Amino acid sequence: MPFFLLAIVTALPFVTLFNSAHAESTLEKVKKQKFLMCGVGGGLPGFSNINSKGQYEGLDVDICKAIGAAVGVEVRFKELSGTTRFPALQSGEIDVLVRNTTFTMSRDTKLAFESCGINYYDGQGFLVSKALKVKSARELKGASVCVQAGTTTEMNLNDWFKTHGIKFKAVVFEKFEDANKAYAAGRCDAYSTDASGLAAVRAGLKNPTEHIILPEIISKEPLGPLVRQDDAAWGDIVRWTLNALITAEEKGITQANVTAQSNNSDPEVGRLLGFTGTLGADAGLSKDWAVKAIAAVGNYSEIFERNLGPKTPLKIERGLNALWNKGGLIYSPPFN
Amino acid sequence: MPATFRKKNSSNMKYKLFEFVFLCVLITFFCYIADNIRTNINARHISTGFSFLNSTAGFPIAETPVLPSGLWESGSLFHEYETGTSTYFTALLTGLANTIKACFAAFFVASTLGITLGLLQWRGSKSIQKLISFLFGVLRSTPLVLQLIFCYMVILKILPQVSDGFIWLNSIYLNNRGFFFPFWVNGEIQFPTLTFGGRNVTGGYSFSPEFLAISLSLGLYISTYIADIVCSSLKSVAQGQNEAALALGLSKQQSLWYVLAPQALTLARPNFINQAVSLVKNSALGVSIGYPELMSVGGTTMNQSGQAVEIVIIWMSSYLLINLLLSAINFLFSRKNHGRFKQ
Repeated sequence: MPFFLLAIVTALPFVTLFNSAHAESTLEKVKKQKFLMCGVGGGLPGFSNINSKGQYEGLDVDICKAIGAAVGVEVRFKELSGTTRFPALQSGEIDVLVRNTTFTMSRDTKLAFESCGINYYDGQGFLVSKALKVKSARELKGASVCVQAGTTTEMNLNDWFKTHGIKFKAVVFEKFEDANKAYAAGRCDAYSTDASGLAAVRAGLKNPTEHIILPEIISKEPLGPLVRQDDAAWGDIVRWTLNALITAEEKGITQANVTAQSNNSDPEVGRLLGFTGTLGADAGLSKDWAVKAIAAVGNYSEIFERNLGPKTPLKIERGLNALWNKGGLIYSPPFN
Repeated sequence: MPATFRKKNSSNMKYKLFEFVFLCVLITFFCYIADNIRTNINARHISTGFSFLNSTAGFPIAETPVLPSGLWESGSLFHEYETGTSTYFTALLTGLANTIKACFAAFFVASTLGITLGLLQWRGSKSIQKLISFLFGVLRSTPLVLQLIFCYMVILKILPQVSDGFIWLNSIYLNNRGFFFPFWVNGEIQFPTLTFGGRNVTGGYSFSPEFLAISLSLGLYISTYIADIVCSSLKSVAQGQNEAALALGLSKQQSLWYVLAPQALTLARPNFINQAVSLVKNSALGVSIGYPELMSVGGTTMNQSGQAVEIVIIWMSSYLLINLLLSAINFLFSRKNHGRFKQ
């Protein structure tokens, strides 16, 4: 025992040596390491998925690319499951989480994250086989429902069925792909996740036309990028990059014409693109940060149409995700 | 300590010094990690502690009637998990119960199959031995998680839809939702019934396809090791024992049962327990096919509550506890046998 105590006494000075690690802002860290570590889901077509060329693509991926371009670094992607995403962000393994993640109060307060806006307004729905001849989710009495673990989906499902006094059985999978496979193999009668996800699941099935998405949307799922709340300045950069993409759509600035806007008479465009004012410098970015972001991925509409729109296999309408002045909820505060 | 070591004082000092430095490094390392976790958790305003276990868990668990709920006093620590009213504690306990349930089933498969294959390997014909070693090669050199997913998909493919499924006397059902049979629930026998317009089954007791997949594939995997243990411990019993038994007029079966097996068992037991430990650890892979065991329920709890460090502690201590129990069993048996040999 004295031997052990002596070892502790000898070890203690070394322990205090390690304590000198100083806090570095995320922006400094990202610039120093010359890349942005972006947490995405992977395997979810339309949001984050690896295409046939081996590159990541999707709405979430494009937001990451825009942030990377605004800061002026390359983007690296880290695939995270519903369970691993929050510890990864908390521990600083990733700099920003853009993984079709629903923003909720407990994630804001208890997990100590900060929402940087909404890039997709979603809601949870049900996918069933047409052969079941089910027209409404209320008819799912006694059915088995496939869901992904570690998501708000499980809780919504339970809340909704309880409210309507319907008994059901949940079959929970750790990964999106596993849940898809199980549904395709007939393990469950219905599949429940965000409606956008259902469109992606359906597009990946053998006979997409034999499955329908039921009309009920049972929850609000505002999806958007999250950062740690201990670095508000970094949150600003993520938030305003997303806002820049939205404002670009509003002002008709596209990937093609963003570099030819010097004659634009709209003062807000001038401030956004850095012709006048110091918005970029105030955020710790370059003057033309927004130009770079828009040039990298296009405006919000271009991103949406490329990844989710009617021309893609997912065939999702803008709906709630239209601009505020076109009947949707997508809205950016002004660039003043 | 052997006498030769005691004589050489210089090497003893060197050894002590090495031990001392190693201990210092180890303590520094653990203090560093503990301090780092504390600092980071404080800096990020993450709440800590185990009080979250008393909050209500709002998520459903697919397999809850691990034991008939009648046996569990409602409101006590061990009641059946009920979505929306039960706590995270009960949820984790249910996950642990599912883990244990799968481990028992897998261990049953592993030992029956392992002993059979081990005996065949020991005394089977050449061609059978070759066939078995080929099977072992395949099972041991592919990742278990792959075998598990394969097994799960095969089970889902083989089992029919509920509407075309196997029904016996309206009380036993076999289909791609599982194997259902009547069971004692709340003091009476409950029969499984068709629901959702004859497309699903509820009630009674059921073995889900996920449970069947994890039990079979984990059992099969571990059985390859158990077979080796059985075969090698039988081989290690002195050849003369068998010859003496046969000379005394015992049949081959009697020789195996009364002479060889008891001796082989003593040799095999520690390895056997090791395989049980390995089985318990590998059961955590059930999460990949949606079996609601401890890893799966813990993962969801982690996500809903945000208590990552605490959940990891619960995971580690639960598996540690089960495996310490298994080691204790091994220890008890070895002491018992030790005493017997002394006499």
